[in-house]
Amino acid sequence: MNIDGPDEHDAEQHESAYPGSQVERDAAAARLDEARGAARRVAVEGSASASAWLSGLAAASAVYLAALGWFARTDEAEVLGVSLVFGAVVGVLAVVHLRRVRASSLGFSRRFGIAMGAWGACFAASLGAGLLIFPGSVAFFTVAGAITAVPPLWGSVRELVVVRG
Amino acid sequence: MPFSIAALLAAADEAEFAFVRDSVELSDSALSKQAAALEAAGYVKVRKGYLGKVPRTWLSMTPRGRAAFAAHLDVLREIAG
Repeated sequence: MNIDGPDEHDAEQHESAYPGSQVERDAAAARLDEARGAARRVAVEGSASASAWLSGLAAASAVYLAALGWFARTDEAEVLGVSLVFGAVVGVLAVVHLRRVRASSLGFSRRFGIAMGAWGACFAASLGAGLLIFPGSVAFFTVAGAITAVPPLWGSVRELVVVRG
Repeated sequence: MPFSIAALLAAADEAEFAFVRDSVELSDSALSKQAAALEAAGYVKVRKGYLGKVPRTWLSMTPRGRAAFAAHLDVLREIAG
């Protein structure tokens, strides 16, 4: 034994005295790797579709609100037509992207709820203020559309970047 | 195999049965048995629903299951060093 402290020879003697310890350490490390791999699989499975849905919603609502700025309060048929197209686009986005999600990463429901709630609040405020106070105002509706797009875009980026690591 | 299933569910709010089955490479019946055992132990919750008209089964981990799995990972980290 080296009186200055343990050396490599001591370490080898320690390992051979406990032949299972390295095996146990390797097995534990493998399990930890498996857990990390599982977390990545879940993140990849859910984040792409959720991100696409949120990005699509941001774009669709921005275009819809910007389009409303071109119509006067009396252009009811045109407003209805544009609204139906917007509804159809959002419906298709939901069918294409959200139905494909087979797993949602931990905390996704909360993050998604926050993004959708913030979008809904901005969307409702934009519609209400625009149709009642600023009908036919291209400037208002364009700015409102850009602001309304922020929450779902942020949610989209968060799903892609934060969840994927 | 329960560890593989638990590792997936611990990382998820919820996961579809088919996703878990494909990920851990088990048959439907084998996964059903494992999920039933984990549910009986109070670690996993099984939810049956529909996506349109197609029936779907969703698995999620209970708070007790998450705590147990987290404790298990702590032990593994201690062993791995």
